[in-house]
This record gives sequence, C-alpha cells and structure tokens, in this order.
Amino acid sequence: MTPLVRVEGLTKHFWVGGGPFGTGQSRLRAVDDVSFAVAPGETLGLVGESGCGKTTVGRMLLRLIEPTKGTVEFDGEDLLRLPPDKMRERRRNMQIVFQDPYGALNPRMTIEDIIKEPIEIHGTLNAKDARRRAGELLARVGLAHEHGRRYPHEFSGGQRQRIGIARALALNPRFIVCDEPVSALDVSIQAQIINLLQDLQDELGLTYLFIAHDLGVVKHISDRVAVMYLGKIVEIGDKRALYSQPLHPYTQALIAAVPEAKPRAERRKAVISGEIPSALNPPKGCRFHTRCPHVMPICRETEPPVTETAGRHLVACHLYPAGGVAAA
Amino acid sequence: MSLLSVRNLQVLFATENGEVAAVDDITFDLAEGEVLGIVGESGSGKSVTALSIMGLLPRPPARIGRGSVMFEGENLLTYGERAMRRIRGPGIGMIFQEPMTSLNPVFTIGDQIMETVRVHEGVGKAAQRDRAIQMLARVGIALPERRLDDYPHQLSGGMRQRVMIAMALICRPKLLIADEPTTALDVTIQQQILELLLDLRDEFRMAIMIITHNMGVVAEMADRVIVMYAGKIVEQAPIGALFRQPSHPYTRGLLDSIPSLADDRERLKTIPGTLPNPSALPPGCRFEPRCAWRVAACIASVPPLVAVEPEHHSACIRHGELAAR
Ligand SMILES: Nc1ncnc2c1ncn2[C@@H]1O[C@H](COP(=O)(O)OP(=O)(O)OP(=O)(O)O)[C@@H](O)[C@H]1O
Ligand SMILES: Nc1ncnc2c1ncn2[C@@H]1O[C@H](COP(=O)(O)OP(=O)(O)OP(=O)(O)O)[C@@H](O)[C@H]1O
Ligand code: SF4
Ligand SMILES: [Mg+2]
Ligand SMILES: [Mg+2]
Repeated sequence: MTPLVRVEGLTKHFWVGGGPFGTGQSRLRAVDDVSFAVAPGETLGLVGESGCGKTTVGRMLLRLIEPTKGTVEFDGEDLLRLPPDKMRERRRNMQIVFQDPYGALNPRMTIEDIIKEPIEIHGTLNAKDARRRAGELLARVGLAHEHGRRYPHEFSGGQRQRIGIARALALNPRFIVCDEPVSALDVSIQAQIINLLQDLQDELGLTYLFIAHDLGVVKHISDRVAVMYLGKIVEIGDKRALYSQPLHPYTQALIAAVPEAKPRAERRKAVISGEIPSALNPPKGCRFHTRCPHVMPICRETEPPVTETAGRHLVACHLYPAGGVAAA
Repeated sequence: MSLLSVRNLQVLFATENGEVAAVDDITFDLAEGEVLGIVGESGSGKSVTALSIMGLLPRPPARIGRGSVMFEGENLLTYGERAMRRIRGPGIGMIFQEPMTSLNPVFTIGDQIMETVRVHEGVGKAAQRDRAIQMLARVGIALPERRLDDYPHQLSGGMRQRVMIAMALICRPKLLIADEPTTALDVTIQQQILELLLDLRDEFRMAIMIITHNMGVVAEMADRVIVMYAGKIVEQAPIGALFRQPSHPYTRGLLDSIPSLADDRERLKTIPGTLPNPSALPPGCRFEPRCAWRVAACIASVPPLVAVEPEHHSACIRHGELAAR
C-alpha cells in the first residue's frame, strides 16, 4: 500500500549554548537521518528515552519545526517544498495532540473556543455550525455539552487530554501525531484515553504516529514500532516481531528492563548500565556502543547500516551485517 | 517504634467553593528500612501527603485541619520552618515530581549539591566537592567532575532527575520520599535508579516512601502499598497480598487497566467516570458513583478501613465478597 506519510533522511540539528561565559555554540544532533513510512489507517509507535528526539520528529512531520535536512511526504506530496499558505492548508489533514495536558490549552479560553479555534483559523464553517461541531466533538470524546463553557483549570489531566483530542479532530484530519498523550495520566485514565483513540481510529480511519516511553502502552496500540536512541531509529518492525524477537541490543535491554506488575521474591539486576551519552557529542560509530553488552571493535568506528530482515523488520546494528540477511 | 507515623491527617485547601479536604483522615506507619508504595488516581492526594510530611505545603491555600506526623517520636506539624530545615536533608529527603521546579536555574548543579552538604555537615569545600562527585557517580552520571559546573538547562531531563536524586540522597536521609522519581526516564535508566535506591536501603536502612502510577515499579520496590482514592486510603496491604487479593473495587480496576507486555487484548479495561469533585463528595463511599459493586448501603456512611487479613485493610463494605471471587 502507498504510505500516507513517508519520511526520508529526516534530520534536525539545534545550535545551543553560548553559555554564561560566552563559550561558542555547539551543534545538538536532536534527530539524525531518520526514515520511516506510515500506511493509511496504521499506528506507528515511537519509543525511546527522554531527549532522544521523539517530539522533534513528530513536530517536523507537521513542519512545526523546520527540518535541517530530509524529506517529509504526505499523500505523495513533498511538504517541505510547499509555500506557507499551501502548508497551512495541508495541516488540516495533520494534527497533533501535545505531550503536556496541563500546558497545552490556553487558560483564558473556554473549552468550546479552544475546540473551535482551528475551525475558525481555517474558516471551514460559519459561527453556528462551528458551535454545533464543537458540541459534537465534545460528545465524541466523552464530555458533556455544558463542559464547553468552562475553562481548562476546571478539568483533570485526563479530561484535558480529551479536550486536546477533540481539538485535534476538529478539522477531520487523516493523520494525528499523538505525543505522549497518556504519559501524565494514571493507568485507569490512560486506559480510557487509549480506548478512545482506538475507537476514533476504527470509526474515522485515522492514521497515528503514537509517541510514548511506556512499552506496554505502545505495544497495545501500535501495529508497528520504531525504537529511537540518541536521535536515530535503531530498529523498526511489526510489533509482534519486535517484542517477541527484538534484534537491536538496545531494544532487547528496554524490553528486559520493563518492571512487571507482579511482585517477585528476588531482586532483578540491571541488564545494561551506563549513562545515555549527550546529543551534543554522540559516540562515534554506533551510538549505543558505550552501553552495549555485545560491543565489537567495528562498533566503535563505523556507523552500522540499516539492514532488513524478514517481514519489513529493520535494524541498525553490526550484529546483523548487510549481506547476512536479505536486503530489500 | 515506627520511623514515621501519620495519624488522622487532614489537609484542607481554600478554594472558590470553600475549603476542601485534599487529604482526609489518613493514618499509616513506616518502619526503618521499609519501602512503602503509594498509588492512586491522579489528584487523590499523594503529593499533598508527601508535602505535608516535608512541611512544604503552600500555605495559604493549604492548611492542616487535623492530625499528626510523628517522625522519630516528634510531631513535625508543630515544627517551624527553621526546625524543619534541619530535618530536610539528613532526616527526610525528597525527590519531587517536577525536576525543573526544584533545581535552581541560576546555580550550577555542583553549587546546589555542595550547598546541601555545607548546610547540614559543615565540612570544607574540598570535602563537599568530593562528596558531590561520589554521589553523582552513584546515580550514574558519567564524568561527574566535569558535570559539576553545568547549569540545569544543560542537562537532559533524565540527567536532571538524577541530579535531584543525588541531592536528596547526599545527606543519607533516614526517610526518602520519592514522588514519581522515574517517570521521565527510559526503563533501562529507571531500573538502575531503583536498584540504587534499594542498595541504599540495604546499606543504611533508609526507609522509602515511593509514589508512582507505575504498578510495575511498585511491584518491584515496595514491601507494602497504600492505595488512595479522593483523599482517603481505600486499601493497604503487603505487596504480595495486594496483587494476589486486591480487596477494594478501585484497586481491582487499577490493576485491570494496565496494558501489559505479555498479553495484548483488543480493548483495555477501564474504570468508568472520574474522581469526584472535592467540594461535592459522595455521601458514603467516595468510589460509589463509579463502582460496579455498589449496593444501597454504600451511600449510608463512609466505610472505614477494616482488616481483611492481619496487615491487609480495605475500605469496601463488600470486601468479603470481592475476596470470594
Ligand atoms: N528548541 C530546542 N533548542 C535546543 N535543543 C532542543 C530544542 N528542542 C529540543 N532540543 C533537544 O533535542 C533533543 C531531543 O528533544 P525532544 O524533545 O525531541 O526529545 P523527546 O524524545 O521528545 O524527549 P521526552 O521523552 O523528554 O519528551 C534533546 O536533547 C533536547 O534537549
Ligand atoms: N496548590 C493547590 N491549590 C488548590 N488545590 C490543590 C493544590 N495542590 C493540590 N491541590 C488539590 O489537592 C488534591 C490532591 O492533589 P495531589 O497533588 O496530592 O494529587 P496526586 O495524588 O499527587 O496526583 P498526581 O498523581 O496527578 O500527581 C487535588 O484535588 C488538587 O486539585
Ligand atoms: S464500598 Fe461499595 S461503592 Fe465503595 S468500593 Fe465497595 S462496593 Fe464499591
Ligand atoms: Mg517529547
Ligand atoms: Mg502528585
């Protein structure tokens, strides 16, 4: 199937520093040469540690952050070549639900106004229809009509996340970036929001990029999963294959380190140790080599190529040499 | 004697609708070397409980309505700010839920950690520096001597969280309160931090109160668990018993909602509804409007915590029937 979203060599470098003592700026490699595709109606999960570049990827897809390099195609069209007015039009099809349910909503606007805002910006409906649509959207995400007259501070984290979702749905998008939509919520509210996102996907045929750092949540909601480490995708594959047979040592460590909701008699020992290196100065060769239990001399020198194993399962690790498995 | 003994604690907040109790009549103990997990709905009063123990409630709007917080036999609620400052650090250390709000952006992390050592131990600069480097290394920060001169914004979220953990641990507190200490961290780092906390517990019998939404973290760390709902403790149990025989419908709902790595069923179970409005609480059991087990008697009066087994308490009037299923 032709992908709805296709990303090639996506890269973002930030210039940071010029610290308090006038030291020069340094290049922070937030996202480095990331490629993936998402099929219509599919959910691609994106996991990785804090700071590995997940939010930056999500925002670049919508051009809320301009990439340093790479291409972003939506429905076959290269978004990065579009002039601003055209891009704005395309954005109707692409929305984002933000990471922080507390900071993402304007505290001075009523809920109805927050939900109507995208409709007004794009001028798709007259005032009366916009109000009706806001009411529909509130109902769609399980809130009552009268909630529309209230302000964000009167809602709990889970309710605010619903409001963020209602707003993202306002223009009937085809694609939604969900940036850690449940990370700030407790498990029972988290389950409500995940079910809601899945229902909406079934009914409206939505396509999601679902960013999270909880591997259980990602496994539950995704069809395929991409694992990021220090600005790079190290593995991407069908979720069943990825969870049952993780190939990259970082993915293996992540899965082994998930604490099970089941008390046990003995203490577990950490699978891997060591600090996550800084994106200001990522390790040479494979970026994971400083923590990898299987590190070989080549890993310290050469960046591992991306190799495809059976069933669209991609991995970037020298344990899987390019010729060794069928490259596609 | 318990290290920490909280009795009938009630914390009130002034709101537009009058005073509401964010924490209402909670009682629990924590022994030396014990790890107590606190779980519960967002907004159920977990952080407020922690802040009351630390003497860090924002006053106003908060005020203690009733109760006592006995730490090593002294009621901390009668302490003034100066006396509390001597307790914070060597007595009770805390890792806060939001790392950025608790590090000062204008000082280097070295300054901030060394200041803590200076205030409580009065040792010289060189010794302060050594202690800071040792502690940063223990929380897994690479090249700590080079990191001392960094400002908080120069560190990633995960590293900042570890600096906070180092600050909380550097005076070797008798009690560590950790409010969502690993939420922002990847699981490989989370596992390292949890292991460090348990090592410190083993080494010098530090007690730990760990607040988290992550039932996996609780299962891994805690000896005993308190489950909170709408300002009240609804269940309290040794860790094994809580998972084996959850005896309150809310606890059951919580455990059932977890998406696990093992199974991937189509739809997650949820608890319908949300936490009640604190200024209009249900008359009886606060969970009653959302409860699948409710009966007429549930609204008659607030069900008290009663023993299901020794050490295992539930505030559900139907806990016996729950256990039977
Ligand atoms: N505007 C910016 N200026 C400079 N650096 C930035 C900026 N935005 C992000 N970064 C840096 O880029 C890297 C990736 O950040 P990003 O927010 O994408 O990470 P993330 O994976 O979403 O992390 P988290 O799980 O904490 O949300 C981090 O090192 C971050 O500090
Ligand atoms: N500064 C404040 N002013 C008014 N009410 C407050 C304040 N701080 C907390 N509360 C109220 O106290 C109650 C308990 O909040 P608390 O922060 O303890 O929840 P929590 O259990 O820690 O939740 P979470 O899991 O989301 O951190 C909430 O209803 C909250 O609205
Ligand atoms: S007391 Fe009643 S309403 Fe409350 S949890 Fe038990 S069964 Fe449910
Ligand atoms: Mg992010
Ligand atoms: Mg809290």
